[in-house]
Amino acid sequence: MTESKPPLFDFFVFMRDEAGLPLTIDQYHILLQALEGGFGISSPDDLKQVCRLLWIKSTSSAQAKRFEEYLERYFKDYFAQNSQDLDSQDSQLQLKKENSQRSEKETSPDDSPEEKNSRDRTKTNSELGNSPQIATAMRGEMLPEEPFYKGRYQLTIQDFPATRRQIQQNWRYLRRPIREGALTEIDIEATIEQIIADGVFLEPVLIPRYVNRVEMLLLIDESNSMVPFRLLYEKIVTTLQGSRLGCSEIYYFRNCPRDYLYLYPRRPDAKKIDEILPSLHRNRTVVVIISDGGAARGGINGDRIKFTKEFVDLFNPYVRHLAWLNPMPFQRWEYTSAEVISQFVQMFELDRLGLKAAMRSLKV
Amino acid sequence: MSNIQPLEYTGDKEYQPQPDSQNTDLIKRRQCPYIPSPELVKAVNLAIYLQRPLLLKGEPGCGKTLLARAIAYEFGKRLQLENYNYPYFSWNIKSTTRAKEGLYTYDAVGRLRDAQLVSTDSYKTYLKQEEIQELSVRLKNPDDYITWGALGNAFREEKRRPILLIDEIDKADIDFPNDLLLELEEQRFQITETGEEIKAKQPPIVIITSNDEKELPDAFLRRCIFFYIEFPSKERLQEILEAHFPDFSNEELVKAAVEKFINLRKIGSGGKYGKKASTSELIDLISWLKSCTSKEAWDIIENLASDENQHLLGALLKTKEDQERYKKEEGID
Repeated sequence: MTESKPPLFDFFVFMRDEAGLPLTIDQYHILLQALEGGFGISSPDDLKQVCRLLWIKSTSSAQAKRFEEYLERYFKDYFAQNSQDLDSQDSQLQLKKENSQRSEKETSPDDSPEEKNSRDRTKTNSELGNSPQIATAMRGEMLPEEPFYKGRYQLTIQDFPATRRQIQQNWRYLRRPIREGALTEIDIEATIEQIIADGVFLEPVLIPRYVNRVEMLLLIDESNSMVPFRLLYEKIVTTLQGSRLGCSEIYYFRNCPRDYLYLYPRRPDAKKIDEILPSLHRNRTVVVIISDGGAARGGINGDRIKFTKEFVDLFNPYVRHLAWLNPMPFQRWEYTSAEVISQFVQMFELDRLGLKAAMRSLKV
Repeated sequence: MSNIQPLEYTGDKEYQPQPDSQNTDLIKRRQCPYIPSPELVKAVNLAIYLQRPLLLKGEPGCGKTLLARAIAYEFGKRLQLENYNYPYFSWNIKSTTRAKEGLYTYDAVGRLRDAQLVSTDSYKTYLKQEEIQELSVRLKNPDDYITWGALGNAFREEKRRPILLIDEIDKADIDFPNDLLLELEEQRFQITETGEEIKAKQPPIVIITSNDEKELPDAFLRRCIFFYIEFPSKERLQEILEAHFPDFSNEELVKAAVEKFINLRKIGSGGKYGKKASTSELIDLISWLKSCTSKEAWDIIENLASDENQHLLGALLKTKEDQERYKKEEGID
């Protein structure tokens, strides 16, 4: 029965399921709490603003845009339906007025808030829940069949297999802490030892603090088949630059790295691989290759596999670990060069889980 | 929880501090008039009522940080506290700030030193009598080695709901906000060194500002009330200026300056990425104009793009490219 439905729950479900906002039940509760406090009940615009404050966490994101769009739609439909029945709208306004009066009255200071809260909650729930106007809105037959952008493809930031934050978090798994630099931290244990030996506390024993000495060598495939993934790997590059790794270097190549690595995408400045090798560190350097490994185009390319193998064999003795991130989904590797390459390099899909697994493998 | 007073922020003019160049106390506390938009007032009140942190974003210079102080001032004035001193704590985040620093720091080394000192006997020869007394009092009470942070102080506030400003939370490590979740939500924390639990006596009113340099974690965002402070409309700008310079009577001049400023903001902000001149720059401009004679001031407004006003342009537009673009555009007009 509609009577048992809590107030605005329909709206919450609409925003969650239709508009696809990541709302949790907690956010519904907080809306109820705000309504109890007399917020958002004086006018529809007031309610809209309260929802905006509680449910939207940034102004520029696609999410915020969708929120506004669906919010407008919901209220338009709601009032369109209500204006068919003027009487019901009148009583609706009446109800709203009563509500705001009541809450004004009830937030008077001499009321003990705890008592007030519990009283409020039961009242608001039953009052709002019983109101037939809200129940009519819940049927929601007036909703348009599909959102306007269906059928037209739009790439939004949420479509990426891993968000910026997820990538950032993954970089932090890479740690090789080494004590280095100025003496800044107190070695408590050694200090106590010292006190025992001297019989008196003279000075604390200081040791250098930990610094992260992982060195990252990121090699990115810049060939034509990688064009669709550019936004994604650019994100990886920017997050890497902001991470706190000991040192990170980024080079580019086309299809498979041979002899030279390029310093910039689409520019001829290059560095000889022979020059790069001595700067690597057996215990600290990890290599990450981002390439589709021929999986985007399909088919098996013997040369590609051969050159890649040579490259990997060349690098392996100089570095701690080498991992391959493939932006193509795992299913598409089958019967391509990528499948063969994945036999001799650890290859991971470039999504949230793959990234995590790759970082775990690099830590070893 | 039983003695929470109902608090409501209004932003009304009657509760604004009067700008007064003689009053060093106000200047020291960076207290100045604050004219919030009605939406912002509503957001503040919602945050106060729901006891959730209010997360403010907006262009640099739009008054994110000053809001918390303005609220504190208004409450202080309304409740007629002495010196309008409503409990207010600010915590300025740096890139190295850890969540625990906002709660407390424990001087374990100091305590160790004291304990060692009294066991040697020789300390009596080089410590004064009072210092020895202090030392023994301190040693008997482990709490004396605690220095409270802003959040710890806010939790210990007994009489009124304290206002806590966490400024520029995005400067800290990306996990920093998550580390604060428990403390902000349950409003309690434990001092590991003494085992004592500190519980907020009055739920603090938390205002958090962010410049969006780092993304904030979802779990943290979910618990906040988010508000984006927009650049004020022309009318509001004039209102703000009136509040800041009540004795600056030349209304025409202010109007012209605002027009000029809005135009400068439009032209002179480097496309999508440049820093836009904001309210604080406008206030700087007006305070300069105030120090000039009326004729000089008109002259400045009319020829803002000219070379002799280069110094002023530098206060408004912060990159060479922006300044040059503005000069070029203005020259054509």
